[in-house]
Amino acid sequence: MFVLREALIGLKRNGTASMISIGVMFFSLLLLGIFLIVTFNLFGVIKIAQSKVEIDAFLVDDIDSTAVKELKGKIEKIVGVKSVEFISKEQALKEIQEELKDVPDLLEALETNPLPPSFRIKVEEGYNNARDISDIAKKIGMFKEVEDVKYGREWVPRLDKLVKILFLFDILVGFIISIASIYVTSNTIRLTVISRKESIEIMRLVGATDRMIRAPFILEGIIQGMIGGAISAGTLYGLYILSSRFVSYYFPQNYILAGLVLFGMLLGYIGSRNAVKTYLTGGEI
Amino acid sequence: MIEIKNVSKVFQKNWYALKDVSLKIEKGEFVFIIGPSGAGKSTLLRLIYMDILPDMGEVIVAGYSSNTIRRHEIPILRRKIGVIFQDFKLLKDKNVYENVAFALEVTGTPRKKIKELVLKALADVGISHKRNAFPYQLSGGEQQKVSIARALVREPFILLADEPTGNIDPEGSKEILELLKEINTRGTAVVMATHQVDLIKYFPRRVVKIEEGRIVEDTGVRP
Repeated sequence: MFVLREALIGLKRNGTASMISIGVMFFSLLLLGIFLIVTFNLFGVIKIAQSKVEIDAFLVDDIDSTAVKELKGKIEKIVGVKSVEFISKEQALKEIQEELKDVPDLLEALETNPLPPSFRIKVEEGYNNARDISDIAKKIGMFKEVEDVKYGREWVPRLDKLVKILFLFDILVGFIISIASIYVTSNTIRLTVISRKESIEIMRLVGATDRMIRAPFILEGIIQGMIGGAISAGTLYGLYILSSRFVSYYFPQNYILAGLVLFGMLLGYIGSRNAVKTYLTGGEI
Repeated sequence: MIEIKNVSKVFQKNWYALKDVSLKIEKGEFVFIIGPSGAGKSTLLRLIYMDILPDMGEVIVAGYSSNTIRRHEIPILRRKIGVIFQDFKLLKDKNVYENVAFALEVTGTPRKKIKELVLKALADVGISHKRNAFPYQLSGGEQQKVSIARALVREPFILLADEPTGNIDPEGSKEILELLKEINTRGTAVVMATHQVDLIKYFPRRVVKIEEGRIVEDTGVRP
């Protein structure tokens, strides 16, 4: 009760500084929220793209059905392989015909079926990265019945890189935002600490524990973070509602909204703890 | 109860605020610490409530030694010691009642108990009628009474008074001294630092004289 009352008094007394602190917290968390949503959505796109990565293994023309069966079994045993589908010569032709049905003349020119039989191989989720796919492709290429192996050699590593860069960028932005918020909160709380020097001195004198002396300031920081987080969450949600009329995208609202408020509280806590740590340790202030 | 053994306190390089001071204060005693400004009176009091620790020697208060006391034990000790100052140290934005209650709130006293204790302490120092007034509405003497009430509300075994009459007119000073006497007769030890030697005439008690960080005279316990 005492702690809460003192924290609220502190917020009120340093109104302007508190507002600035909440404002910075709001702006930082809003930025972070936007970044998170962009990242979430890009990750979503990348995941869909990754699930489409497949390896085509073209076989020798004269392979018989027992050899196909045997080879299929062998490929399925390779670590990271999710599924193996056999595409016969006829099926391959059919697919081509389907794809090129707008230009029938082109196909009529074919007298024999030039397409080789093949395996269409999908990989497990954890093996979607460039290195694993190329490893798997290499292993498949070593079977003598396999003439050639093809996969999205070029865009798989690029996608891979993009994911990594995005992730690093997110961490970097999150880090910078956190540091800035902590710094500003810390300074605001420091102002409160200084403005209440007398009260702290008396608390010390009458035997208040360090914890009791610090608690109101820490709570003040947490409240600032909470308010900043809540406003940014509200703004972000408003932006989502507005923008979703024009574009549809993934917005994990519960996670984002609760996450921003909690993260704001955490930043407020760290900031204020920093402030009281430098100003309220040792016998005197 | 309080034992100061060969204590030295150095503030700046080679500047001794106290040098090899030894002093024993018994339960329920009334002691004047006199001496000119800067002689080390305040330092001595601060050592007793362990606001500072000695650089040499040992201070023992209520069983706690300055050599072994832990940081978290200091607040516990302070709850048994009342301290008042020349500048009263009242919170300007709190009224009389709240100022006294503050001392109990910050140490986690239950709300119900607070009211009872505060009203009693205010009555004891005779300032109940001003309980809703703010410090700026009070005279110096009245403010000091509030600070005494705040010091007493926890029923300390000792009251340390650092120039308690320094900011108060002669009439008010006598009144404060009377109050301290009365508190002492109820069993609380009082250690009062002052440079107003004339006050002692009204109330002859043990006098410890400090000059330049050393005890130069100690009259010993007087009845």
